Amino acid sequence: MPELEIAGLDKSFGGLKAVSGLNLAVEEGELVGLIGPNGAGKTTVFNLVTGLVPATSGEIRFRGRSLRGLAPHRIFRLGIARTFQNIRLFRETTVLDNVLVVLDARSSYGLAAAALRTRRAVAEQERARREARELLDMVGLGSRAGELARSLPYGAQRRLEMARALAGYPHLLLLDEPAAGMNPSEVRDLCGLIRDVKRRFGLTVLLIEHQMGVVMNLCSRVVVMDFGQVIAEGSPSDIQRHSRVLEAYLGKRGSRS
Amino acid sequence: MAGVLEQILNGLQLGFVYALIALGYTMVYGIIRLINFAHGDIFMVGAFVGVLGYTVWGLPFPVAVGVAMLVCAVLGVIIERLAYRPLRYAPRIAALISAIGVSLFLEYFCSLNFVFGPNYRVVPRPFEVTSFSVAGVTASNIMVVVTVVVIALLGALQYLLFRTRTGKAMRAVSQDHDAARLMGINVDSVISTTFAVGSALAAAGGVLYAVAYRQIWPFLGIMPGLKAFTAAVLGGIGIVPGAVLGALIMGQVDVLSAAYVSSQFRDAIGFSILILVLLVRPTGLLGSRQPEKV
Repeated sequence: MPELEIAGLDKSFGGLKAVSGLNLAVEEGELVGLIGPNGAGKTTVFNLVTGLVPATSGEIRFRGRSLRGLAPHRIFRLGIARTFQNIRLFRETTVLDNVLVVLDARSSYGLAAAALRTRRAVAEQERARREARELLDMVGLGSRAGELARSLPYGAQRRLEMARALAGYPHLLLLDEPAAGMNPSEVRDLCGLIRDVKRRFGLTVLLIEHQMGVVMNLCSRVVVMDFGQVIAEGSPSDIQRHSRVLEAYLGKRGSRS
Repeated sequence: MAGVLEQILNGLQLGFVYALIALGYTMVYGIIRLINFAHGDIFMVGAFVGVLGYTVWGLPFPVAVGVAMLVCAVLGVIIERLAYRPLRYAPRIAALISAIGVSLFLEYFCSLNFVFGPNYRVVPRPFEVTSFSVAGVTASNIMVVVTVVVIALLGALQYLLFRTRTGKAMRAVSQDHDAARLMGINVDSVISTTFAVGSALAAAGGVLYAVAYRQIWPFLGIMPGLKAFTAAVLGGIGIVPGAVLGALIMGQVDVLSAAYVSSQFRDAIGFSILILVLLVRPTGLLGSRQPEKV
């Protein structure tokens, strides 16, 4: 059974078909790159999988379970976490709390237990705090836990988003252009980090990325989208030679003057 | 001089009550960007339930306050569920109109004879009122009760917002609704909690107002509601400390303009402030920039 299975997925916004008859399967443990020109529908796929927007039709299954009609927070708790193309941290909140708020949403003790500071509630809070620290250390932000998220430099904000997503202990991680706006050395660190967390958490990763270096370096398989559909699929080296991919990015030879 | 100080103390008492109402406006706005125009009417319901509690039902005063807070918390949650949640992804004006509808509904429903009735009622005091003077300034134990209750509630709110999971989730939702949903936070329950807390604070304000000013009727909530709304805007809508600051200023403006200008001009002066703030500094005293977009 694939970790993520998308079949006949459609999404229209008014007259615009953002995703149209999309089929895609991601096996457990894969690191799949999702590429395609701007407007191809890649981010819409992420929004559909995470439940942010409802599908017009089609089916999304995660570990064999249909995600139809599930609220985003339920899908997250099933084990699908994501980052955003345009960073969406809780900006006015500390780095630590950005991660803690996610860990807290998972814990089970009630408000009464928290108010009464029962032993279990206190123990869970302690554990969440420790886990948050570990996650921050992993992405190299351990020393900045007390700062406001908005005060972090850009690359660090991207890493914090990753730590926040990992706080859900996902099985499947969706990364939306994690390397956007990074300089080459930051990109190198990021690739190392993605490989590292994938191994450590036993993740399956679906990655949208425009920087081909990142895709070629990380991904075992690449899926190319255009006009809301998969137009090609294969190993990174296959894809680089694929004519429809070149067309999608560069236009048909002779078709544009 | 003692006279001025006494007026300032009166203003402080009124400002504290406004603060309890303004907090609900600002918390709800912070979390779903809605001006909950029914909020003043929740304050009114709180006043009635509290007063009925320690008079007709014979509850001890603190218990009556607690019951009023509980009833209004439930009322706030129901209002959100029925009148605002179905409109959450509709244009914002729709929820605003719905809020005005809820406000009118509460006012006229509570005016029915089998509810609270349309008339003014004089509120008996729940305890003996005593006055004392310190350095020539006279104050009453009512003032002390109001101050103590409000400060205790503000402390509890501060604790809730900054020391608990619930508070963290509230702040996350107010900063980025969608990101919060996508990070496993149950946004619906966080919004319900916000309405519950805001409405409970308004209810406490309602009971204190009734005890201090001794008259209640179903349209009681309109004027304090509008003043508290002004206070929330003055302090910077969506900003919790701003609501308290704005309310304390509005309390002084009300009392001092009634005392030293004319009580007829009191409301005109108060609402001129609303217009001035919106013209000159729409983000309010503590708002340095546009409130964050959801």
